[in-house]
Amino acid sequence: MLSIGKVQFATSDLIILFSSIIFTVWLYNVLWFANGQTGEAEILVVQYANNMPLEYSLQEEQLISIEGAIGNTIIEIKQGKARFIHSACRNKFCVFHGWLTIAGDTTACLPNRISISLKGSLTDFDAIAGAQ
Amino acid sequence: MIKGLLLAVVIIVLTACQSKQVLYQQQLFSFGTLIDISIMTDDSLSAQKAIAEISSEFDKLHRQWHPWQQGELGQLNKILTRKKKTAASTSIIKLIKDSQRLSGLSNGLFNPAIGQLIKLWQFDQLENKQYQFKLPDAEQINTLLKQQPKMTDIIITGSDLKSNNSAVSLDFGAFAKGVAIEKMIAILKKYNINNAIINAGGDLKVIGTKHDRAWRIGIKNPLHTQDSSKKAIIAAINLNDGEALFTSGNYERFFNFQGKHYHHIIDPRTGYPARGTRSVTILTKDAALADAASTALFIAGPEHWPEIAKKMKLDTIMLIAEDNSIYLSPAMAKRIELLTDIQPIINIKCCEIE
Repeated sequence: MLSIGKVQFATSDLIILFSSIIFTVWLYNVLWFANGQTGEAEILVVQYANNMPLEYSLQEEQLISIEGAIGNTIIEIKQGKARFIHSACRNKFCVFHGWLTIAGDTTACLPNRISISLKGSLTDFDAIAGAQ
Repeated sequence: MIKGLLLAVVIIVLTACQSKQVLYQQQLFSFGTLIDISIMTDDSLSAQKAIAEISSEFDKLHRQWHPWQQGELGQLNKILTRKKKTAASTSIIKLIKDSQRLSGLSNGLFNPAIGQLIKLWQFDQLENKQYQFKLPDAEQINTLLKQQPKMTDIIITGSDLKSNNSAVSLDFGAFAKGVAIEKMIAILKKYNINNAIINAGGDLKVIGTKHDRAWRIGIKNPLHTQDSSKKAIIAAINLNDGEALFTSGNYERFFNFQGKHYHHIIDPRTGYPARGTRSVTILTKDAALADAASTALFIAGPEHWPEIAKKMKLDTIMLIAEDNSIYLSPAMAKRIELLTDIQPIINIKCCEIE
């Protein structure tokens, strides 16, 4: 029996109290600090101009065709990755970028005003620096 | 037993109430690039209002600062070549004054006065399917180089300015994004948003934190753009409140002509794309300084970047050379987590800020 002031704690009280503290600390770590540890992408986000973005599961292999500002763009989802495989733009920087594989990565066809990015519930990075 | 259970519930509830902040993310096509805005807030209305204002401000600045369109800078450039006196807005005057100071500190390697030289390369035609790329006429390049356009050729008197050199035209492509990002951060703060990232085409500034931890940033691998089998991310870094991370790379805007790679970062000393560097990444608090300095150090190259960094009072730098060597300043070596097997070269005498 432990007493703090006039309050007395039984052994079972103390067990519950310490268990709750450990559980809370564990939850805090898992939910808030896990971000940055693992980064499996789950969702492809496709945006045309400044419209509402569209989301696609990376588990479902498919080709997505979109009409952009200057013509057609085709995006491929395969084996949990995504990439531009065709774009109406001249230089095809977006196609040459290759596969997006990690959550947080993004690339865009600026002339066609279409961007693709990957999202995951636990992302490695909050943003990607360096030219897109 | 009941007391213990009650206390446990109180602890869990109090912890859960520590923060209701959620992440708002929005992408915008503006300023000639893709803007990514990430905001941690519990006030969704303020986030939406801030994003709308940021979008409109980016569009406004793009029109105002474009060197060749009909906005204020486009009009000013026409007058500068005629060496006539004209009035300019306080925003343009400040842009010019800040550029003059940074151009001096960079030994002229950051030089927004070479707009005519940059225009000869026609990088603005990169997406024009009808345009056939060719090298600019060497004689035209030499003529402009002989006239030595530089920022000090512009004389400012109050809100009036004139150029003493008809070869001067202003192109703030290596500076405007940094200045604009600082303005966007000010808009966020006006809406009491203190935890956010503004990322304009891979150049970014963060404020605050994400749930009490630093914002974690991945840095793209410049080699990945040429060979997609290479890792997409070359390094990771945690950014603290108010830090900006800017990169200049030879893989951003370029064309290939007769088997040679020509990129958009023009060396004001030669009139041709700077050689020797793949990318330079700068970490500092002032986004505008980071923007200008990333261009200056890119041009300075693997041999001379430390002396320019010191003059510009920068100490956190990574340079990736054309031969794939990775150079780090000691301050960057302490901060960065390289995700590559390449052993970096740390310039131990580099960049002490006095």
